[in-house]
Amino acid sequence: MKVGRSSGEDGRVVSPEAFESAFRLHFAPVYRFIAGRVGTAIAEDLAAETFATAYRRRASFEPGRASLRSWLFGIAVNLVRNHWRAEQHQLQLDARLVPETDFPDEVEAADRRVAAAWLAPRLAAALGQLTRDQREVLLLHAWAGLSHSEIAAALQIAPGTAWSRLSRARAALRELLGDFDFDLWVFSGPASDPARGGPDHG
Amino acid sequence: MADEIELLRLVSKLIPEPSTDAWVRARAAVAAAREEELLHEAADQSGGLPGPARLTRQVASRSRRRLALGSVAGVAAALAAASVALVAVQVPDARQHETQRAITAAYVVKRVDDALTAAGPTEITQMTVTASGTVTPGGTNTPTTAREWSYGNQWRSAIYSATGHPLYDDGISTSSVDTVVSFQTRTWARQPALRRPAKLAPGQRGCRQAVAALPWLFQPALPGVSLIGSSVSLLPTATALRTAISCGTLGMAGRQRIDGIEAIELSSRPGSPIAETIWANPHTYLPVRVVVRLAFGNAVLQRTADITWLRPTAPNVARLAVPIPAGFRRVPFDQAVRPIPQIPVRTPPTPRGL
Repeated sequence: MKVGRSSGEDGRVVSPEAFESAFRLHFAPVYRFIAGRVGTAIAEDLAAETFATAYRRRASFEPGRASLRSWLFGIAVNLVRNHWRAEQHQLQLDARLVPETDFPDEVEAADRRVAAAWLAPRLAAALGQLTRDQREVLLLHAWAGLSHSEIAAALQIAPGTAWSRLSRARAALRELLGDFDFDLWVFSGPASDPARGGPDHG
Repeated sequence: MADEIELLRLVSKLIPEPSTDAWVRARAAVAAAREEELLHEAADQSGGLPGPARLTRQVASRSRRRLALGSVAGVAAALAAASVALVAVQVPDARQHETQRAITAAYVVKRVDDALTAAGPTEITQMTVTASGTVTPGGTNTPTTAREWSYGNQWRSAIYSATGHPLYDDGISTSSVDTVVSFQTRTWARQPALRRPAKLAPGQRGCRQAVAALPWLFQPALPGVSLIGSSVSLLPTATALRTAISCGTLGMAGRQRIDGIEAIELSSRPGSPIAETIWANPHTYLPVRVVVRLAFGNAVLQRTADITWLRPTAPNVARLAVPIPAGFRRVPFDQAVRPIPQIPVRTPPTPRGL
């Protein structure tokens, strides 16, 4: 993932100009990460609070220890944690509904969106059965595009822990999607019951 | 071969981009955090004033809790209260000067808001509104003017051409009767008003509401467009002005002499989702002039309203009645209104600078 430079000369975001630059570059990805987890209604509040919190704590951001986006996503993750019930509800809802999708002009893009809409309920059901920790590392990697070391910085855990947690989360998700054929992109078995819920006790 | 990460990334393409509201809300939250920080700095620099400093922190703490709930409307009040406690703070350098200006702006905005709240039910708002700019890109720039009055649920607007000739006179009476006079066709009409004076529900303030309200503020003076005969709800002018200043992005711009008084000038800061400048009477804190700029793509409209606040004496209340000129013919309402295109009710334009 391309990461634009959004901070001051020294990589910090203390000055209003540097923070504005960071806001412009990172607000949309952070918002989408949150919206994907708890829905757009709550995401507006949480994304705003993420950047208000970041502004208050901007002096504590040290470029040598973490990337700016991992720091911002770390704040977002902490805020989302307070809304885990909303996230669980969102996943259960997503598991039941095939999302509406518009169709872009390009055939390939349209195909991908149709595929995404078709896959979304099954993935939501599977995500709902992961632990919170597993879901966090998976989505920070897949949706936010963070590397292992960035996930470690965002969650304030050791890099090795981040690596092993991500590996286990991927394996767990793969197992939950057990009847999915990654070559043919089809599920060979009946859909699991998305309302079953999962061990969300992380 | 695809893997589970690729599936997740594919599904993430269904997540929508942030709306304009989301951007506006986040900007307002950051702006509030910034002002809160400036307030803390000022409190820390007060040194020998432990009482005010403690009060300042309490106020700021309360404002943060409100922010956590997504509201920025209380920040101005919090800052204003704190500014009273900080009057003795000396601000020798530029940064402290900026702090003081932010505090002062919040204080003035709060006083203006209080003044408008008090004046709403007790005073008649009389405005001369000048609209300039073009409705459509490349359109003709023909300024029009209007005289408007607003008092409780009564309202009247007399629209004039660029050459000063009356075009329309339109008003709603206390009994919710809409009367319109067309000077172009020498006709007049009357019917039960479709419009109703709107009330501002609690919480209906802030940037989102301010952005949405701006296109409707001083609406009758918009060239070629009118709300005559429409069912769009009208906010009393004082209420609409309260909404317009509730974005929390007004800063002190200085003083300017208007009608013999040194009016306080407040202006939207760069990056604000709305563009407005307000001059307030330093004694009453009531606005005496408001300029708003609206951008519709490449087209820009500017409206300037010069405001006078009148006591509701019998002669002043009489200004709200629409007189029927002698010799004018009564016609069905739609015939009197027809020459004026009706504005479509639509989503407000996307604010610039987001």
